[in-house]
Amino acid sequence: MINHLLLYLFLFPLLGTVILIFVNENKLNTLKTIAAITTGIQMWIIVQLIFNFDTNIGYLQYVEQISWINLLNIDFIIGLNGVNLVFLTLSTILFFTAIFINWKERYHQKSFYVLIMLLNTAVTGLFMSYDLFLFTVFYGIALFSTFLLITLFTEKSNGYTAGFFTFCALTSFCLIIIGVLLINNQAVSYSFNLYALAQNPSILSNIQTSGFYIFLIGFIIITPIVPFQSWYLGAIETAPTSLAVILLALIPKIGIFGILNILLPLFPQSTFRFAVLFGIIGSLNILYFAFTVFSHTDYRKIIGHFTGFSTALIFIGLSSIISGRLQQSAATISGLNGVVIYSFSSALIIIGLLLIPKVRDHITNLAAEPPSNRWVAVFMLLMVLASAIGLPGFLNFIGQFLCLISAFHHWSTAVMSLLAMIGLVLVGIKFFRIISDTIHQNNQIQFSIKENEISFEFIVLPIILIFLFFLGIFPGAILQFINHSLRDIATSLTTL
Amino acid sequence: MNNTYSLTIFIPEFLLLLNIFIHFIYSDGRSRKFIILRNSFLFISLSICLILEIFFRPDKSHGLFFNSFILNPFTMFFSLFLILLFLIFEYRNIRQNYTSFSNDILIQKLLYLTASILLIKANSLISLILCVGLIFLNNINYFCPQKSEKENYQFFLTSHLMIFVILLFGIMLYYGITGSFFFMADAAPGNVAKPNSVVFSFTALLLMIGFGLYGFILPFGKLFGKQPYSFDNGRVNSAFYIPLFAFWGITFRILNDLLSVPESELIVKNYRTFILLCSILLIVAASLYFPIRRKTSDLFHISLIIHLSLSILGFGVISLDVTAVSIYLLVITILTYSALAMTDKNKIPNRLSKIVLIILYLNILGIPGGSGFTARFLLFHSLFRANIPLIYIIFSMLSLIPLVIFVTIEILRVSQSIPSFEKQRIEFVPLFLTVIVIGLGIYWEPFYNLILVSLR
Repeated sequence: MINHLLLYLFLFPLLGTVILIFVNENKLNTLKTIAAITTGIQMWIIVQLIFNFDTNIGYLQYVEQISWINLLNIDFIIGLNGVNLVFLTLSTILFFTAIFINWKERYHQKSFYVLIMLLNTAVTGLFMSYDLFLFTVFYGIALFSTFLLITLFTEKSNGYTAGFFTFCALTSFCLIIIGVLLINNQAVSYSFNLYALAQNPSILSNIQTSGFYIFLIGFIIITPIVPFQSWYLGAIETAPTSLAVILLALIPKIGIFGILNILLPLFPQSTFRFAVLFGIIGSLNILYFAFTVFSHTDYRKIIGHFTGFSTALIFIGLSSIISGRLQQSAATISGLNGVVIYSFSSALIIIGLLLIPKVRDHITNLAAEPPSNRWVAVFMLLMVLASAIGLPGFLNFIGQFLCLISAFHHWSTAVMSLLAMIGLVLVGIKFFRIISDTIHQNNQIQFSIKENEISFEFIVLPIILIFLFFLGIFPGAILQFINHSLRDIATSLTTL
Repeated sequence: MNNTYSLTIFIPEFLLLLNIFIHFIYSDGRSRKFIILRNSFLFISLSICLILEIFFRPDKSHGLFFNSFILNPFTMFFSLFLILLFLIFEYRNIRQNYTSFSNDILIQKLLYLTASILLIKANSLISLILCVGLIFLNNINYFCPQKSEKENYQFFLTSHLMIFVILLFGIMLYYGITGSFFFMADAAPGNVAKPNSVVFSFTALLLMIGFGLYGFILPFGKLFGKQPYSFDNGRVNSAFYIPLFAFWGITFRILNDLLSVPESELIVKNYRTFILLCSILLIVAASLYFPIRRKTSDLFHISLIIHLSLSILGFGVISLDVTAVSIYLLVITILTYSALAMTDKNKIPNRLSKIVLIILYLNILGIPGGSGFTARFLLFHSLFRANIPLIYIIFSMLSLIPLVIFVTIEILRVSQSIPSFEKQRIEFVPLFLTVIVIGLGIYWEPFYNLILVSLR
């Protein structure tokens, strides 16, 4: 059974989706229970995978290969390395949390749970797929279910957001298909097998360049960064918190995962050649988000900008690949480690930030809350905001530190790293204003929260904080999983 | 093949003609028993036709009646599909055929089927134009409108006349250049009448413009409200789909035969850009109609044009694989739109119909998992293999974006509609077609191989 854990991890949300389709929409408790049980089983499977993962090897584990379409050499290939494991853990935590946050919501819940579980299936499949066709299929389903979630669960007046997301998603999807076909056409024996393609890169240099740009644009559109940021900034304004968790914490990570798992292994020459591009994209976005965050008083928008900022910081980490030129693969490895760690920690911290409006209610509602609750709420508010800007002791700090320090090994990226630090200071100032606004009750920042929008905040938040604190103190617990896999990528990048 | 033997190949057509004759003679059958007997005979005849098409598949091409018609795996495959499509469309109508009016309609539909099967097998210019003429005459009769719609009917007549004249002119020119009435000289694959650039370009134009117009002008005309027939009333439309499918079938067949000649490789390269541009421009032109569409049925017309235009992309490549993919796309398109034509989009009777409708829309959209995605993926995959310039592929992909956006809007409209809670009968035919369409998307390889084998 242990050998097929990865397959079960994908099959359970699929099964949950099918069951949910046939449940009557008035049976709210049944819907919630099925979704919770399914994601709960996924959590159990992911824990099993973590404990049974061999950290001493870099190659794929739990590989399942089923012949699918012989005519085109397409197989159903799933596998697990350290990077996959981190992203799968992240998506499982996010879906599990989103379902519990949403527990008390009452309207249109069937559509919500069906679509969330469909997205869960697609994202889980995407994070473990090692066949480019399979990846494309999951990518398409993930984008489509996201589109439906945005359209159905954000304000109807927000038509621009849905329209712009459709444009972004379609363009991204088209580019990914073109990229996949381009690679397939160049590959020996027309293979779609990602692992085999990465092990024996036989792509011509001109195809390397065009393929690199096609995939890069395809992924960064969905990350999303400037100028594609407006769909998620618009969507989160009116989205329920559980959906905002998915939109802010998960969807950008799909793009990051694509860059790490497809772009880097398939196009090592071009990645190496154009590594500075990551830095330029990152630093420009950091400046944009860090300065524009000051003009906003709506809390959700501030969080949206923070998401953009953290994505940009990840790009700074990616720019450390340029250090490979100086044969400093250690810097590249630490940069990539930082990318994975910060992707994971920033997603978790975004959950915490999205729960803050409810925590703030506990602080400001003096009459209804006992003093003990208030103090706990104040403590959590401080911890979440402080860890978001990189308080030492939390995992976020480790991620930020690795991303920034690894970029210092080359003069061009060092400048960008400095810019990122300035941005970090600016975001920090804004977050201190939020703390001050909440404690002094100035009401300059607008926290809009609907009734029953957030549940279990006093359970979810402490668990996330403890988790981040533990990993912040013992980063080796996460590094041991990703080190080998990233070392392989870094080696392929630096030994060209 | 000698002519006596040729007669046995036409048993399905004879059976269909016999049924037409019976329906014509006894059109006013008042006895219920007689009607049951007559309809049972029709069902038995169609079943025999199906069995004959399945079990008498030749392994190579044979000329029939002095090469006027041809028998090969491809014609059998298409004929089989046409009869199946007819059965799916007309199953309920045949069962409920009581009035003399519905009897006349059934006769006309049987004529469509017979003419379409013959058209697929046509190998000479004369048999081809006769079959087309029969279909067009039938069209003019079948879609004859009420007095109030005379203006629209005028457009319908004109467009048919125009297409017919183009074909007739083309046939004369073809004969003038080649000195031959036949597409294939002695019915052996690859033995085509004088393959040179003029013949090839002309034949391509003849078939694509002539038959292609049927697929494009009529749906375009519908967008202006200038068609006497409609997709949106949930009525069965074998009268439109079966001839359309036959026209595209013979276009594929003849072009495939011409393409299989090694000399035509250079010619294909010369006119590739023209074909690709035609396809992209048609998609763009159809997309321009999206914002001004008046009702849901317009959406089907536009997306039908777009899907047929995508099939044309396949003509730009000299490869069996691409032709097979184009045919696969065509089959999927016809099946999807047939299912949609049989579903009433404005009044959703029950929850299952709603799900069926959404699945069909998703298939048009090209969501991974359905045959719509598979067909497009295969098409673009084949184009990549054929080394078509990347810019054309990117443009053809991007030109699909309006289709996706507007179909998505329609999906949202349907998903938010409330189905009737009254107990209604489940529409089995659309459900069956939907299952097939999805099945062909997930497990498409055997079907694709079947097309490929029939093309060889």
